[in-house]
Amino acid sequence: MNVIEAARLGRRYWTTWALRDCTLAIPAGRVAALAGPNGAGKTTLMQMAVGLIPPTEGRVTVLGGRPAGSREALERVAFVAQDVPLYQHLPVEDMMRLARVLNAGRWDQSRAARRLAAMDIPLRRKVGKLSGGQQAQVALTIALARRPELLVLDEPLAPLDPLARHEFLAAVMETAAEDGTSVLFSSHVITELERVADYLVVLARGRVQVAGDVEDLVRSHQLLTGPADGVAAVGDRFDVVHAQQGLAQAQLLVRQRTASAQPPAQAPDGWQANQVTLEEIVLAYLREPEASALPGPEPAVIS
Amino acid sequence: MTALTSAAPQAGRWRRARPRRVAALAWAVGRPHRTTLICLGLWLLASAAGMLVAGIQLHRLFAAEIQHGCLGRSAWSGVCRPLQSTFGLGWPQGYANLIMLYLQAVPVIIGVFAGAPLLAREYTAGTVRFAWTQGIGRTRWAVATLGLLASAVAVVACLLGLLLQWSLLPVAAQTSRFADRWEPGVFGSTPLTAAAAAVLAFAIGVLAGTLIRRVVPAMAVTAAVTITVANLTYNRLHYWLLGQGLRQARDLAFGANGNVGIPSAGPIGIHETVGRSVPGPAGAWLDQGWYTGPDGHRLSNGAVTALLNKHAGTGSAWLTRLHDSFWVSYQPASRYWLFQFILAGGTLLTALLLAVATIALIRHRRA
Repeated sequence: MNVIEAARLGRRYWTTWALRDCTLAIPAGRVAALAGPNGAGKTTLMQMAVGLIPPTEGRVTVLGGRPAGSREALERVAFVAQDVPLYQHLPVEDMMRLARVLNAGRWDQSRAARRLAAMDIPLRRKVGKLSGGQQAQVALTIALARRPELLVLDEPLAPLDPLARHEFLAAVMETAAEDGTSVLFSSHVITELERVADYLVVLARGRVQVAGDVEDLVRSHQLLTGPADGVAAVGDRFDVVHAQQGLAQAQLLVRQRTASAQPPAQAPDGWQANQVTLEEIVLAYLREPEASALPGPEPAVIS
Repeated sequence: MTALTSAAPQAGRWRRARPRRVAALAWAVGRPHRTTLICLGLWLLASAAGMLVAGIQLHRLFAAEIQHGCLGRSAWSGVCRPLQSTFGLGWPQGYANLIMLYLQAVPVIIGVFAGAPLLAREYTAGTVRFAWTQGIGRTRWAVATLGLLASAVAVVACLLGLLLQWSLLPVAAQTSRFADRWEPGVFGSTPLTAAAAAVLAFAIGVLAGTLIRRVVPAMAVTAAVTITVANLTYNRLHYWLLGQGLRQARDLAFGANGNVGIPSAGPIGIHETVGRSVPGPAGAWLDQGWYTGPDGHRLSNGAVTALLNKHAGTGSAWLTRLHDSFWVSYQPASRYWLFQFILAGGTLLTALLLAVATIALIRHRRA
């Protein structure tokens, strides 16, 4: 099952396309990271996946074909929006009670109570009087207490300090492991993505640039360093994602061209091959918006 | 999964809604709007207090009039004099004027302060992104929120309408056309029509807030629209509605008190209480009155004026002498509640259509 399937999905605001021709399938049971520069369409994609924005064209479904934003989808999809829009004038306890009623079917009260107690969040204080980090924790607590099958987090780490980021991600990972929840989260902070994500989607200029399993991505990419005049030879064997050329030496981030079943291509003589980190891969693609790597599973065909 | 199998359990869940769950849902959708609800309650209390004080005074004066047999006595004398002069010239007239105007403003106040900010505030605060992604779903959330607030608004307006009717009873009972139950100000402010008008104004406000998504502009637009609606209802719809399916009658009692006048083209008067000097069947809404000549043809106003100038005289004796008749078109008193239900029902239906439009916007538009 795919937790999110998008087929030629697009959204236009007036004359500008925030997202265009986005075809994507994120498999279930993954912690998927959505990366991309500002304005790449991350928030638009997420808000379409939870039904807050209707697509201009194309289609998006969640959890095996449920229309995004439908009740059968919303029952099982929890969303924490970018700036944590909770009711600021409500005390935490009322906010929680409200969320409990609005999610009556699947609500896990003991999980909610346990998390709030662990975070030392004062229940009688108004949400608006909490720190940004505490507000994010309340929003996450609500999302987790809903026992979602898919948890969508839009820039959840932005308001948090480093320690809180760590705790936040730990809580997400714990739930993902405990309940088998699929997670999709967006972030600017690529090092954070690397620590927790096992699936990566990179958006650039409103299009999907990279989508795939993190391990596959790391395995199929490498950093080659060699003589500047040998770049053409490398280009014959690999797809060059990003090249950095000096007078004598060149550094190329390359991708295996072949399918994983065939033996991988070797670097030409005189070139040194190095493993790359996920961060290097993401940065390389972000620097080259025209390059793309889309080895992810094909979405079921949606007309 | 087919549409059939997925729809069936949902329908079941609607049906199984128990009182406790409904109460919990009402709490949940009402909690963010608690301040609005409290303000509505305080406003109702303050208005009710004023109307109660005035109403008790009026009823006390009225009781004294009955006790001393002052009703229907045209000559002001003795103990009746101060009582009658109070009703005829004193503060009760001012109170009735003011309170009927106030009741006209009730829907406007409700639309502007309860309706317009309701969803506009959720948009500006961004809380729609919370509310609309919860398991309950957008549509149920919207139906519950609008339903709860609309009910609160209806109850407030209904109680205000009830108090208006009660406090004006003594005034209506003894002034000729003022505060009559058919009169547009009173007809549109019964518990039934007041509640319906308030719900419509609320729906207008909510729709404006959903379309505009900003609190102050939505309030301004709502004020303009609800004032226009109140105006049109008072000045046009009311007369149009009561002009439908009129009955006609030859009015034999006309002029019994000697005041023949020239009927005008519009509504010529309102006739509520038996024993007043206005023509027509008792308790009816009079639409028009006209004279016919001996041959049964309608006389023009000019012809009537000429007759009046030529043959001095008044009343039915005058008509009999000239072999003329006076006719009225009217709504009989028995249709009062029918028209109340038509006006309230039409108003509520309009409100319902606006609510459906609002929910369609919520379902299909960008959050």
